[in-house]
Amino acid sequence: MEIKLKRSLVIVLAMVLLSGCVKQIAREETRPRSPREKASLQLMEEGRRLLDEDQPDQAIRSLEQSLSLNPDNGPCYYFLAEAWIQKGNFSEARQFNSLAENYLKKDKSWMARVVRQADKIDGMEKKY
Amino acid sequence: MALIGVGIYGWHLSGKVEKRFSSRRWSIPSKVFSDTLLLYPGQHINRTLFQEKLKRLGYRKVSGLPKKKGDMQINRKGTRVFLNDLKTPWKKRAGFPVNVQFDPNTIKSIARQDNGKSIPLLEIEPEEIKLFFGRERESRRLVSIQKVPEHFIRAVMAAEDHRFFQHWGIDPRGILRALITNLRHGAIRQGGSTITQQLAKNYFLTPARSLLRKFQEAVLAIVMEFKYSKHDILEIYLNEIYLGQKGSVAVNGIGEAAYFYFGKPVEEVSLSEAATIAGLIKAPNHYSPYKDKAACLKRRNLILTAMQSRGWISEAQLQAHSKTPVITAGYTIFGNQAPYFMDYLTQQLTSLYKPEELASLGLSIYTTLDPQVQMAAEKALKKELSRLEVKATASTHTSSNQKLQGAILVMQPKTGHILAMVGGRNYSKSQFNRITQSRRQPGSAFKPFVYVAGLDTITPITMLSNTPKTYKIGGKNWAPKNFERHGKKQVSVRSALENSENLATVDLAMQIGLESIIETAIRLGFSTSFKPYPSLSLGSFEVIPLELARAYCAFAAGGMMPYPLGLKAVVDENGQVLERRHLNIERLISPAKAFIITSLLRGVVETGTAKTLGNKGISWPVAGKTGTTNNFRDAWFIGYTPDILALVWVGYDNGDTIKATGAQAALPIWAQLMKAIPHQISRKDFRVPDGIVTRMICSEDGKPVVSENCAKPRKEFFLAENAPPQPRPRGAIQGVFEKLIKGIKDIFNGD
Repeated sequence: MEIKLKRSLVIVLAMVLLSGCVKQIAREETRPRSPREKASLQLMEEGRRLLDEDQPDQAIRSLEQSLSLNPDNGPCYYFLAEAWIQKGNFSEARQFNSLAENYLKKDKSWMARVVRQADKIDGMEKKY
Repeated sequence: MALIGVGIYGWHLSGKVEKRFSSRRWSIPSKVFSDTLLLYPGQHINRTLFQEKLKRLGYRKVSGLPKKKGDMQINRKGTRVFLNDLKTPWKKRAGFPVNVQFDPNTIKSIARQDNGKSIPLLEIEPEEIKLFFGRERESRRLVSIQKVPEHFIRAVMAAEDHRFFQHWGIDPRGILRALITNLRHGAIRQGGSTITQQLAKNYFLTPARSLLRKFQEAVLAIVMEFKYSKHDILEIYLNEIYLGQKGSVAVNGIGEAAYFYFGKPVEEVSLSEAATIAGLIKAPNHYSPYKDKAACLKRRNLILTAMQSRGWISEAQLQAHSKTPVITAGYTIFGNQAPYFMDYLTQQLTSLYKPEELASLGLSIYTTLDPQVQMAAEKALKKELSRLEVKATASTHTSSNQKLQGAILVMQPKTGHILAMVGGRNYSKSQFNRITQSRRQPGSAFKPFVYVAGLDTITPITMLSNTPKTYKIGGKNWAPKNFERHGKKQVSVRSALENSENLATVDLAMQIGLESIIETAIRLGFSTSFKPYPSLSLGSFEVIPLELARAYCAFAAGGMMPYPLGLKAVVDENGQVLERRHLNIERLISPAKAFIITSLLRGVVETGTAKTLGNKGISWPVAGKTGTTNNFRDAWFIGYTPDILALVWVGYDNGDTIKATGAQAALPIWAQLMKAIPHQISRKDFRVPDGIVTRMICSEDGKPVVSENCAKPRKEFFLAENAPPQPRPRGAIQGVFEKLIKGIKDIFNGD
């Protein structure tokens, strides 16, 4: 009985410690964005919308403005690569895809998109 | 016979008219624009610079709420602006009223004045910074007749030719009427020339007055009316007519006049404003509202009365508009903004367009220049150079009768955008661009390139020899010395760079190999022909400041080096984009190595040769390096944050000594500039990339901490591949940890 109680206490203690770590990770991931970062995201969204509307030149402008406010905005590089794919310039697309990979390494869902994009660039380059 | 002669002459002139009208009708100077300005809530801002920018953009202060485009109201808490239209190659937005509230040097909120809707991001139109004029020095904005309001056309007709739509080029009734009026007054009071005749005179003929000239004018006018419609003739006239003077530049056409006098496009000009402009045609400088408002008002009301007498406006309109005061937009004479940057840009443009094309094609050229940063840089340079000169004059070490010079370059390290370029102290005295054209020794500002070349083998805690040595250069002995002698025989890499130790740097250079350093420097974009001399490591080879700044961008931008970008786009007069330039960056060193150098350069600012930066109001993370050359010939400071990099150089063109170090001469200029441009600085820290690990180091012996006996442990960064091993906990701590693990194992094994 005493052994069972001790084991239960160790397990409960471990769970409490682990939940603290998870909370810490969650806090890091949802760190409040600075006003400048928010403005950068706004421009990035504008760029993404323009890409959806097949306006890569205007999109590039918004995305470059986004980077001028926050050069660490990883998804921005991804969308810049998309813009250059739309323009048919695959060497530029590859460069920005590589930058996206550099900034988004720790984000699994974004990395999956970056890898798919890299494959798309390879495929389109061979085709054209 | 006379009629046949006139007919042949008319036929001859018709060829001339057709040729003139079918070719390019006017030389429209190309315009250079700055970048747009982005504003968002929470942004730090320099309110003075922001308000000056609005004034340069032509916004006029009003006492009440802004009611039309171009109005602004400034009060203690904020600025209300009725924005002009935004027209760039990338975005078009109609103007609207906006309320920007401050708190006190941060933007608290941005909202539409009309409906209160908050605006998360606002883009302000670019400033016009230069026009490429031809010999004629005419400024003109072309307008289509479709866009000219009816009341404007009627105002011009009332002023100059009320029977324009009835006659056939010449108006005998008008001539007779003018003759009677002039005879009655015994002086020339009225001209009988029609709009068509005036156009013939301006477009084809010399200003000479003679009967023959009058005859030619009349025939030309008839030919023009025969070949072209009334609306075509009127459109050309309205775009051709001389309407005033802006400094040395002629204001031609109603499009340009509308902006010059009232700060608005032709379509938005009111009846009274149209009558004002129409009244100018007779004598623009005499009736100019900038010269004589009373004469202008009197002339305007005469035009309005003439319009009413013809039934073109009502009595009520006449009464109302006659009482309206003449309110002008004000103007600044085309000055020479950012002249060194403009020269740098012109060099790029003339590889694309001939000078005569720039002066005539009416191109719009968009750049990366931030006028607020440009002005802050010019102001900081001027102020500090004067201060240094006063100090030099007061001291007993005055060594030069030359003017002290300086140069500043401000860039965004990750995009390559050039925000400001000041190539010298006074452009009118010297157009030599010390950022792009000069070659100067960088001195200690070159040292980071030595250290980055060695990062595969050294770490920040590697010890370097700091003992004097003699080296051979070209058969001669060279014995470098440290700036400050402290007697330490060995110093760490960190300490060597933070305190700019010459002996340790040369020692490192000889360990790495001079060829390796040269290879690194060339890879980072230097065009200098370096030689493998030990003095290379102390910056003895001259470099171009633009190249030096660009190389530092590689550290600031996580190993990526951008192509410096000043030109963004060229658009023709129809809005067609002819050229685009985008950000162009390449990876030259790993993000981890760039971060190590940045970490060391942060030490320069926090505790090293640039530590006085902290006393100058710079409280956010900055990395940088001072540079001072032999005999104090050059003083440098290159400092950067994750968003912005600025290079400052101070020296004499002839190489005389300035008797001041980089920290004393260049660093204060850098600090003053950065404090003046808060809108460009995020205050963020540098991102720690993958491939970097940290270890606790004992400050006393510079070694990894292995026990709690170290009184001053500090964190140090290393490349993962050459970091010292993680020290194992010893003694009591290890014992407690081992007992805890054993205890948990025992519980689960049931012991």
